[in-house]
Amino acid sequence: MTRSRMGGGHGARCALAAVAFVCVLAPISATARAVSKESVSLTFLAYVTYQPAYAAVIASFERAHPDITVDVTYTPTIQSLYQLETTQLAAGNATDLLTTYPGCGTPISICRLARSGQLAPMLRKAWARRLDPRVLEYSKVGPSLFAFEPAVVFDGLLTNDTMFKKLGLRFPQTFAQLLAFCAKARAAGTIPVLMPAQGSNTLQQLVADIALTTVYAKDKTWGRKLREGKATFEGAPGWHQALAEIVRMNQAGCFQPGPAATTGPAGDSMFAQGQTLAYSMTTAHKGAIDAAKPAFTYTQRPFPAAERSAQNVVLLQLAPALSVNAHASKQSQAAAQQFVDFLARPAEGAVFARISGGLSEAQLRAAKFPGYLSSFLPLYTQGRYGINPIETWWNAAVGNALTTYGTGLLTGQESIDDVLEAMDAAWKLGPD
Amino acid sequence: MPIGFGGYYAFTSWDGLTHATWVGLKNFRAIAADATARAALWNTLELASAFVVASNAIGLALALELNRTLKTRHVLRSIFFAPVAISPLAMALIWRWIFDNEGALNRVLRDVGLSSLNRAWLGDPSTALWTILVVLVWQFSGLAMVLYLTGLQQIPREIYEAAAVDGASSWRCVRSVVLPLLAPAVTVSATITLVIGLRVFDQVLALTGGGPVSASETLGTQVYEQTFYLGRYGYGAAFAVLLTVLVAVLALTQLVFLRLREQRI
Repeated sequence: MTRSRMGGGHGARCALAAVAFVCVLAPISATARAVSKESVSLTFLAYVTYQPAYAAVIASFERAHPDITVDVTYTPTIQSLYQLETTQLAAGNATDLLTTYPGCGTPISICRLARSGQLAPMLRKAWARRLDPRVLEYSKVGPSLFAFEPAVVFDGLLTNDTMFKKLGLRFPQTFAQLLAFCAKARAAGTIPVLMPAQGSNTLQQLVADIALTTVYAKDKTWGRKLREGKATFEGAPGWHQALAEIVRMNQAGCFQPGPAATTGPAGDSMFAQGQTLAYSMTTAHKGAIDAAKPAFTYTQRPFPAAERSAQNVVLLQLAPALSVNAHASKQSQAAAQQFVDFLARPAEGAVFARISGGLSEAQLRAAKFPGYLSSFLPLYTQGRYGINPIETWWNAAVGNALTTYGTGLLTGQESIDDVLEAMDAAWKLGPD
Repeated sequence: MPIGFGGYYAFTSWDGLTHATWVGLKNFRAIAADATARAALWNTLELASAFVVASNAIGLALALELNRTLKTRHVLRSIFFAPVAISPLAMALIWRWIFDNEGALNRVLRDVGLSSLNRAWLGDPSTALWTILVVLVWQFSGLAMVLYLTGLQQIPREIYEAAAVDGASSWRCVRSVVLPLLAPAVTVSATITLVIGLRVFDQVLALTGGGPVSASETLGTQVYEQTFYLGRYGYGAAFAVLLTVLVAVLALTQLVFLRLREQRI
């Protein structure tokens, strides 16, 4: 009697204890599960010009993914970006997200880093199917995709439209008109064209922009001939003409005093303060300029490189791309790929492009140009544009030679032949 | 170990990301043939020579003045030494603002009616290197001053009194009495400033980046550019080896020469 009563009462107590045990443990377990779901902190190295755009996108991303934070380091110049990223990659402590450049023409080009195993491939990306194939090819090495281009920008002249109106000036449509414009602007006591030639690729991009009209538009196979060793920079009249235009602009007083000592951020500041009528720059600096709250309206216009306006070709610059560090942890790589996918969404791409001053891939394909880029639309729809040729060069030394020795054209230290010979010598170093 | 590896990589072709390939003396032959490298070597020697002379002359002058019984001598010594303690890069960035086209220097010159002297100090090849010299001398004259002050304070007061009794003027006293007794301090200061001058990097990078073109390029900036910008680690290491050898040879030669001079005195 006692055993059965004891057994039955004991059993009930045991069952009650088990239920209580489970009820107590369950929330603890849930909390433990919640605590053990790791949050990921992604590191990212980017160029300061894109800070406003990335800040907006990252804020949206972190709201959508509360378990991932993105910690960005911005470098003040393009050159310091090159230096820091290559150093970190060589040391093995590079950031999870990397800024890379399309093609092969810079020290952090996709082709160079992908071939050395630094970049994680982007596999089975739905967004890749939406991209313009001509843009996509610069993000690939062989059949594999290694980067996402958040925007494309045009190279040209940013113009202070308020000052143009005030001075009664019209934007030049040909190179001869540009030189005349410089004289009128000088007479009005302002800087005609701001050229930040120190620590930036601006001069290099302007020369490449002109060369699209003077070299590549006249001979569409010139790039292939260069690769095959059938053409040289020194032997191309179009390259002589492109550099001669820089020399003539300098001699005509188009540039500010001491362009060789003006950096990109200083140039952004000077333009935003209204010190110059025009600014040789891509619209990638729009975010940085807007952040300084300029008290005037501005747009960007194609650089008038040609003798006749109908011959002008504009330069389409692929903005710095986003890649994933192949040596980051698996968790960080997965989170980094999520960030890339997020940025690749049309809505986020539009936000990035609007703030940074470019066009998202979707906007480019649909030819939906914002107002400040409307001057480029006719040339784009007519097919009179080209991808920056520097991105097709097979090593970074050629672009560096153009930047370094090209600056010598502004200071009188180098001749056009010196610049082109330096570029040929750099080309002969071979592919990176 | 870093020196060993650096020495090894100087004889290789290496991009920092893949394997290094042995190329022997190819990097050094390329340096000898490269106009920019030759310009960097020449600029380095020119800058270092001018820096040694200027910083030691100013440092000695300051030390002689501040060795007197001035009420404010301790405050003044601190003021003149303060730049030495500040980061060279931070200091150079401040000077960059001063030397900018629209910077303080050009504005002051305009305001006092000397706008004809306005220059693109950092963007003009004829002034870029000397602008760096100004910053270097400004920052490190205080170091030379301290070294000379230490030497001056070891000279017994009786020596000065004896010279005064013999009718020596102040200048004669400095030339014939003080300077010879300062020989050890001169040796130390000249050697330290020579090494600083040859190794200059932060100031060049912050002010001009080595430009315009190679007007202010130095061996230090070439090491940096070739290695970290162009990804030519082997070639950059060769520059580093060249710079190390240059510093060692020149510093040791100067040291031996000055020590022998001390012994003669």
